[in-house]
Amino acid sequence: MQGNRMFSFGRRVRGSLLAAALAVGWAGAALAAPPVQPGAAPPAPPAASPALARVTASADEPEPQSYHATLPVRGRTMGADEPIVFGGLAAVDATLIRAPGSPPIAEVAMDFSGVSARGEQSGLPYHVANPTRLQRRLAQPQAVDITFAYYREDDPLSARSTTASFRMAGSGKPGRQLAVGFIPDDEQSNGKPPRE
Amino acid sequence: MLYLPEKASAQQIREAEKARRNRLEIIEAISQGKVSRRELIKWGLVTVGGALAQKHGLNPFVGKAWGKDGGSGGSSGSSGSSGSSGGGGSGSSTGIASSPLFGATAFSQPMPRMDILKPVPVETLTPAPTREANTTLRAVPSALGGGFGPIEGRPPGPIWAHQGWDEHYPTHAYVITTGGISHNLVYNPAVPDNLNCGIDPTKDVPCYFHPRMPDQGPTKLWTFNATFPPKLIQARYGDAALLRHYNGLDPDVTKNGGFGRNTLSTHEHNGHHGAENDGFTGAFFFPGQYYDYHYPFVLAGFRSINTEASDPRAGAPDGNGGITKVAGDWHETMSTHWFHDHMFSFTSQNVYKGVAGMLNIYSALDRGNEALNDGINLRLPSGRSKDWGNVDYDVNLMLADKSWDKDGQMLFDIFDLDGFIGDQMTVNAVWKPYFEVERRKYRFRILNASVSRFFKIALSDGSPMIQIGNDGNLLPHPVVLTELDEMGIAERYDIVIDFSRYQNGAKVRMVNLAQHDDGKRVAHDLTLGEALSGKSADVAVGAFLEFRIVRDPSYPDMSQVPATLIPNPDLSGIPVARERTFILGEGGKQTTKNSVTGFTGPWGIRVDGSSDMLNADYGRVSAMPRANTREIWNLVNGGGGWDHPLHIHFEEGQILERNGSASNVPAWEKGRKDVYRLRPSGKLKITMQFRDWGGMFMEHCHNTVHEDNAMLLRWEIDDSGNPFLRPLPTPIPTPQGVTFQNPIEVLKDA
Repeated sequence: MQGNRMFSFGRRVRGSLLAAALAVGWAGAALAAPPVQPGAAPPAPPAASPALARVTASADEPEPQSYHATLPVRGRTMGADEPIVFGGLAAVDATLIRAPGSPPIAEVAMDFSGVSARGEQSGLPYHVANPTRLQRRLAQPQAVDITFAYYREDDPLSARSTTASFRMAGSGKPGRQLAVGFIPDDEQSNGKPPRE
Repeated sequence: MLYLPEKASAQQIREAEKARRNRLEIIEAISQGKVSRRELIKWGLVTVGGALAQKHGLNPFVGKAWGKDGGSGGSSGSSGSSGSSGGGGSGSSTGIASSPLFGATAFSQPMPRMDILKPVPVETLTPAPTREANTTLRAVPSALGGGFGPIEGRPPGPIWAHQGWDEHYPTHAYVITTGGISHNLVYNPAVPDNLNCGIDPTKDVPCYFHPRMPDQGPTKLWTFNATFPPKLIQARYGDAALLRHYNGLDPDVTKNGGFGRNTLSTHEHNGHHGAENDGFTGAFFFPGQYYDYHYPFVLAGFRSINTEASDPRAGAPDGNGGITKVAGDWHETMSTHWFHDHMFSFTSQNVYKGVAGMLNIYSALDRGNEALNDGINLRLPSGRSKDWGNVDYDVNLMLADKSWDKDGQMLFDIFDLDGFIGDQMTVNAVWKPYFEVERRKYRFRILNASVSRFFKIALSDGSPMIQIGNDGNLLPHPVVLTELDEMGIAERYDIVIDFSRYQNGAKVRMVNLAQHDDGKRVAHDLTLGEALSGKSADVAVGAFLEFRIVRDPSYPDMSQVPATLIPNPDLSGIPVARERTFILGEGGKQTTKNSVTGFTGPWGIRVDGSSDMLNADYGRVSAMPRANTREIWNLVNGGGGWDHPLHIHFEEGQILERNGSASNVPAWEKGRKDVYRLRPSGKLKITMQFRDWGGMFMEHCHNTVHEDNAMLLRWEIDDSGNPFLRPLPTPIPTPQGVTFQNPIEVLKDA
């Protein structure tokens, strides 16, 4: 992941709120293919790329409380025949789930439909698949490496996978800040190829 | 985490075992009918919320008896539900002793394919099947009260007669006997040995989870035909079949190994059959009896759509490369079912005990032959040697978590009524096996046959999988995923994995990412790295099935994954006759006092016109949709942090909205469904039709601990003007015969 600058956003709210920090970055580590070294220029950020992620939350909202953020992302990974570059907007929805006797969890859905991909040399378009939903316990800041697939349009059998690094945190206690943003390059938790 | 870690101290393990024995006494007493849950509440052993009392030596989440924090009250929440901080690591709770492995290592035994049942001509059945239940008398064992009773346990008379019997008379039958486990001497995998990891089917199949583990005793495991592996039925549309199911269990209810009930009701999940064949929870039959289930295998809508059977997409393989056209809507074609016990209040125990199998339905579209290229066959991975039903590269996987005691014998535990999770993973009833594959595409029909555990499946190298089906229905379009969604209990995901990307000799494993602390819901979805690290306190996460890529394809892979599979039926032109809301939650209340048809538990379902979250009573009618109408049902999780995979019998539905928006419905849920995961605090809007058959059906949470503890209701369809009583009388089975009573209650807005 190159070129993502630090971003943070905070907003005081009243009442019981998810206090979470979400961060998304591209790990650029290929899973089904060896990782590539940074260097090639990723596509330019979309013109509509927000300077700040948008977060909606209401202190008066009954549970479940949901939060939405739209984040600019860019990345590059090694495809089957050539490097693939990604760019666009990822939408992140987090819903706080609390239950008596259990630590709060966030149900997170990421929408990559606003992310496009193309072959770096050929310019061929690739389809970026949405990852599945996740339920993660709200605890100390944690890096979450999620895998997702990309493939040539109309050829799902050509699919390969790569990893995006996703950072989230929160306490679920009332009166805390809600923040969403990127983590800077030097703090980024790079995706790791799955181990055996 | 509930289960103690392997390195737990001897004292911790002793205390856990003692607590477990106490709990097992309760389960045994309930399963053998010696005590009711109402009495347990009265005695203070179970709270009104359904949880085990906060007593050390009983509730595993309570502080240990003699430790420094003993008797501190544990970590449970106000609802009586389990806290997640329990477990041996902190020493703050009793926990549950983990299942011993007896020196077994993972991926050291082959995974057997399912055991395919061979049909017999229906003419060979003795006695011959009958439209109405066969009430010929037989002597009833003294353990069941003696005297005489009918040989067939199906409720007698015209109401429970097979609908469409003459129209869809079965030509063949599957005969099964449920009994205590023993060795299998007639295993039929229906593939050459080299496609079944070299397993020689002529040798007997033992009844253990691993060769290093002891055989399971016949009271611990009950299975169809009393053997491993689990059974598979292969059916075709338009090819009506009979399932003659004998109850071969011991008539003595106490001979159950401490859990399970010896009465059975078999649900063909989610068959589009008449209600008399649906495995209604109150239509159970006794040891020594049989029940004839009639499966016409019709396409939904066969009475109103494509009635002339002119559309070749609505059809089935004819055995000679062609298609037998059938009536109905080809958009309603189904593929992957399963069949399992549905005994009222004992489904969880009986299914956990092994009373479950799978059923593949073959059709013009989903032929089970990848080589037939007629423009209709989707040519999904399967094989080519037979006209239909090839399973060379189409493999059923039944996933289930289990738990066993220090002697290796399976046990069922309760710690609260949030749910039961085992700590060990099995696939097709063996522990963590390997499976040999060729370098080509395979279809896997994955079933979550657990009691309360969700799975989230990935491949260990993060490679993509293509999901083609959800709940037995092929999706409109394939979905490429690197991790499948959390898979609720009873859900089926059909996926394609392309092993051609690997070299011979390579290995890749199927991994469970969904970590549970308890039976309430998934606590934490792990990343692949986390799941494979072995650091999770939930040892059922991590790799559970190893694929070994052993050779190039035996013949060219001719299979496909088309961009369009089966589009959804278009219901937009059908008016919505009614909209209903069902709210699932705790705080269930029993308004009826019938100890036979009703059950008191913490769970319930609130329906239109009722202010209460009602406990199950299968004598109560909660909804009565009219035949040949379409309705919208709102399915709402009442909160509290639980997840509920809600199963609606009989008709497939489509999810219109999740949490208020169509855009929240993910691609893999955009097909037809029969299990609807509500997710914690979630809500769904679905639509479905009510067609073709009448009678009493059910909906319930398929976390079967919730179902068994009263999160179930009965609904019924009239018979479109035919002489059906409405509402229908409730069957009351006894070994001496089935009687009927009027519905105990019909909700005013049903």
